[in-house]
Amino acid sequence: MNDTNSAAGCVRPVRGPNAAFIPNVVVQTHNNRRAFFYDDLVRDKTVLVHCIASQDAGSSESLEMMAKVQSQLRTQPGRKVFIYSLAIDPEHDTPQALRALATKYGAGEQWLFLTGEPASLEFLREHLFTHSGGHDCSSSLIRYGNEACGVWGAVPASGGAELILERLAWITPRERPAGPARRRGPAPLAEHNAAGTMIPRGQP
Amino acid sequence: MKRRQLLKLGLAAAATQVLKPQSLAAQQSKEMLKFLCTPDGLPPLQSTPSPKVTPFRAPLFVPPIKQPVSSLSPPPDPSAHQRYEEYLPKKFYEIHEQEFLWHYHPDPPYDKGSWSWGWDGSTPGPTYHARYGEPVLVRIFNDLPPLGVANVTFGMPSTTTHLHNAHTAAESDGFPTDFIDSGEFWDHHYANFPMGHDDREKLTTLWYHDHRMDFTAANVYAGLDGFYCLFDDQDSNDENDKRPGAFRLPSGKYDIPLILQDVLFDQQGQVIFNRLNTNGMLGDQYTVNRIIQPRFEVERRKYRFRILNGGPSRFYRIGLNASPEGDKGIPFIVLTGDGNFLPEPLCAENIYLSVAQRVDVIIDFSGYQPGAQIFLQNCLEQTQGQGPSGRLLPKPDNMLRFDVIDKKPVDNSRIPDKLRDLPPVDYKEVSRRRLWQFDYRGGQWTINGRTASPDMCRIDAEIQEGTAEIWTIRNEGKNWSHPIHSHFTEFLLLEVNGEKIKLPEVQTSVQGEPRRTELLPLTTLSARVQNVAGEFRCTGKPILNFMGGNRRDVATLLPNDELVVFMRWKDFHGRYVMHCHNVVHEDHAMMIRWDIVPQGTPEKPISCRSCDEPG
Repeated sequence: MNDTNSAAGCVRPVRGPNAAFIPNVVVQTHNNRRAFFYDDLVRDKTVLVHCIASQDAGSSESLEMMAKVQSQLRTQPGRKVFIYSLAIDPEHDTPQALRALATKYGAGEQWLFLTGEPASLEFLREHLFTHSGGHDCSSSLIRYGNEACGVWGAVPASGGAELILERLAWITPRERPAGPARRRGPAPLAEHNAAGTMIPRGQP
Repeated sequence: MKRRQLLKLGLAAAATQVLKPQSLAAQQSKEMLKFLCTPDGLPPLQSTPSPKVTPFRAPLFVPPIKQPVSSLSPPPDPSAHQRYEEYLPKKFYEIHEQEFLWHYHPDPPYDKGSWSWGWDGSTPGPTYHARYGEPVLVRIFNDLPPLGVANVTFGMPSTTTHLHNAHTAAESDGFPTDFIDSGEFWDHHYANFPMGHDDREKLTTLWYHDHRMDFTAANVYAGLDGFYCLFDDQDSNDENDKRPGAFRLPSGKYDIPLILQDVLFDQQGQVIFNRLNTNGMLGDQYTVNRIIQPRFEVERRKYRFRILNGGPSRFYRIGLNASPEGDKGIPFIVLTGDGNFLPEPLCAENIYLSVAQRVDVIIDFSGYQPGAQIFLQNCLEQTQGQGPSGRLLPKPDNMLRFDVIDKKPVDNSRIPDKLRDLPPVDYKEVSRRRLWQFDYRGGQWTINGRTASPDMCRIDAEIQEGTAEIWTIRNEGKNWSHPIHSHFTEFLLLEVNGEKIKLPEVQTSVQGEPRRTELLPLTTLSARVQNVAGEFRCTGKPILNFMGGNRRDVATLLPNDELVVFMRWKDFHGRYVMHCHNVVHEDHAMMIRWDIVPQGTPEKPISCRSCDEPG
């Protein structure tokens, strides 16, 4: 994995590749700062975004997993990934309540708990998660993106921290290796057998 | 919390290192004011339509036929492929995934080209002409620019290629996590034999496309798809074939694949894809073989068209019409449903194609005068990615125009009365039943309440090789549609919404009720394809809407639908997937893994073991 997040080679877009899809609404951080969601928090950055509610048990699991992700990222110097935990229920999850959550899970400077005007939050959730009310905004889905390059994916939170980190590696720019093309696969069947995933067939 | 309270809290701003002072326009009260007004409703952020074009100006792109190479260097590794020595490759191919400027249309702004991905310089990529009994080895190179350099910004330049519908060993099937990055290649061994060496299991029109974990929709939408046609002694790719039993279907330049895809463009003519949408992605430009509303000059004779819904999320109900207004319908002569021949050809006014479904049709232009124009149209309304609305368009949309030219060559092609018998349903082979329920939860799409395991290590079903199973495929959604595709083997329909199927039957729509379907025995259809003095015509009343025969590889689940199917597995072992082929749903976790295991393997509960743990 390349541990730089500089998006070398990316041409910096004027507004960003997904500016048309990611609302630029004002949000409020657990530190009582206000920010434009796209311009200040997403543009040119590598981010993880998920929804949380302090009164939801599923959120606890998701937050614990994010704490592990944060911890792992700290072992990778120079890597800058921002984590945004978006409040579903701003009535209960005030900045004060979010601050308590941030403290509980040891959120560092790059992990922000976000709330804001209910209409702004609804607009944000609508475009990132709920889509015309068809889906709820529970803690099950994590969106990961590198907006310096424009690439975004989604992954269930159930996979755990290691799989989130794997995805952050996927969206980290890298160079094509020098030299002739390399065979990636398939691996010899014997290796599959060791993993119990493939059983070769006897020859005739 | 009330808005006022929030505003109060906002005044107590504290500096952090995340928010640089110079970027904090949000702290300015004037900037804030515009956000105090709640927008009426929630309009889409991207609401600008694609630039318009002159329809039928651009000629249809017909992908070239892929040519083999004499050998591969380095050579393939036989130890990496199941049954390699039994099915030694007779042909070798090298194909390169590349980025290029693709011209969707000659009108500005499209004339400057749109950044796209494809194969050997085109999208769709070249068409393979493969043959039963002739195994091939395809080496796929990822020559896409790496992330951060690629001009297609929404895709992931890391790929795995699935040959849709093929009876392929697991290691060559394009498993979602078997991906290659830029500068790497993967060898795919396509043994090209029908399941169990049963000729009734043969396939015809297949397609290859990307299947990258989390990124299938974006990568296919960027252009990573193409056709793979399988021939044999009957469907021999030779309309002049004198051998008895040869179908003599239109061949060569009269056998044309057509992939239907809807695409959205920005004002500069670059392709737009919203990676943050869970429901599905709709475009507002119809493309056929990646040309916006093309025209195709046809001679006065028969053609075979292999029509594929390439997605990502739109469903189609296609028709042929002598009028752009849609009031002079012409029936299709239907040969196949998905990847296989029907027992006999039939006539249909419309054909329903959910994502990834295919149909081979014959259109006979011999009775038209030079200058005649025939339109391929879509009449199904769909306003959101989640699926069709259930209504028909008041006026059909024109996707492709056939221009009949003054050329009437000798046409030795035929349409046989009988095509291919169905494989039998044999309940003695059935080892168990399973229920698969398609739903959503927690902002994601689920199968039996679960999302795909992000490492694809969870095995949701272990199927004993050489057995058959009966699967119930149920849509729990009242508003969602899901085209469900399971790899490796086709299925035989047993029931549709509780109605048992007799063999052979065909599914069609009920007149005036587009969402209701009915099943008609193939032998009782009034419309027949008849050879009248060398012209093949539909006589009698064609069925209203061909929705598939008994055998398919996509189970189209409209809201609340339930299908019961018979499936059998033979010849290979290993890991495969079943998923929604609205590929946006697939990328939002509507996928399971099932494995083929040897007979006698003890049944285990659904396993969540690590990939590194021995099975």
